[in-house]
Amino acid sequence: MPFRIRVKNAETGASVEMELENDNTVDEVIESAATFWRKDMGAYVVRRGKKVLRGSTSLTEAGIREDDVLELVPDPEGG
Amino acid sequence: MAKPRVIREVRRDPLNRPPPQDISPHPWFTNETKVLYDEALRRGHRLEIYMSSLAEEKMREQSLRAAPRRLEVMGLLLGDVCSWGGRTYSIIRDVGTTDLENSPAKVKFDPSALPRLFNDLDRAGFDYVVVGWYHSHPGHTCFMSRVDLRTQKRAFTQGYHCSVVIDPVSREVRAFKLTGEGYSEVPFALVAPEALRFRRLKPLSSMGTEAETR
Repeated sequence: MPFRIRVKNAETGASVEMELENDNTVDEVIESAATFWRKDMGAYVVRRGKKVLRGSTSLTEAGIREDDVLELVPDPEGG
Repeated sequence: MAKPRVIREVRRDPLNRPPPQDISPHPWFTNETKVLYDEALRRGHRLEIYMSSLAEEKMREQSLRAAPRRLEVMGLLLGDVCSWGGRTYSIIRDVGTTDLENSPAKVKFDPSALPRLFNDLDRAGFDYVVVGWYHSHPGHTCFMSRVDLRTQKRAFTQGYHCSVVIDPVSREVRAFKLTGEGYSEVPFALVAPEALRFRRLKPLSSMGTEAETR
């Protein structure tokens, strides 16, 4: 059963509404958002509340539900 | 299995607001930066970056704490993107940071400490935009290194995005923006926190511009 979440881009304030299936993975969500905003995902982390989301876990395993809000946050490196 | 599908985008419009009037230069400006600042004001140019004294104090104190060991520090600049008279500017209202993996020549967030960064973001108390990032160059003066420039090009490419670099040893601070393939210095002004206590005219949720997706 498809469901929807919102993914916010912290560096612009924009957000996208995304339609998903329970067996989609966190990586697929990240890849979709990155493709949409033409971003290099290596420069960001994705959070849900205080938790970093990573990897090939399914959305069910990650506990992501209808109407959840994820956020892309820049992860800079200085030298 | 279907791939995730973007249904629609809601963009954030800049807040329509005049820039702060009660401003001052940073006491750590070099002579060169002070000339840029004075010149911008003398020509009646509005500045592109305003920084609350709260954010400035947090950055300065963090960099000074790590200065005796010559360790770099870093964080995100949280603020608003505003527009007035057809010109866009940013206000840095607060900063977010966490424990770091740092040395005298490199810095990044400690991945295991990201929840603390997220806590800072949630505690900012406003619907922030990450308007840039800051880090320190203890004893190395303020410039954009090759690593800094790569970070800027990967994650901070909007016109309002800046990079603030602080040298707590020589007591310098500068802000930079991308210009073409390189970067250039952009003068900024300090603003007292009370000058930033404005009333929101509309809830943020009603200020966006919706766009159908491809």
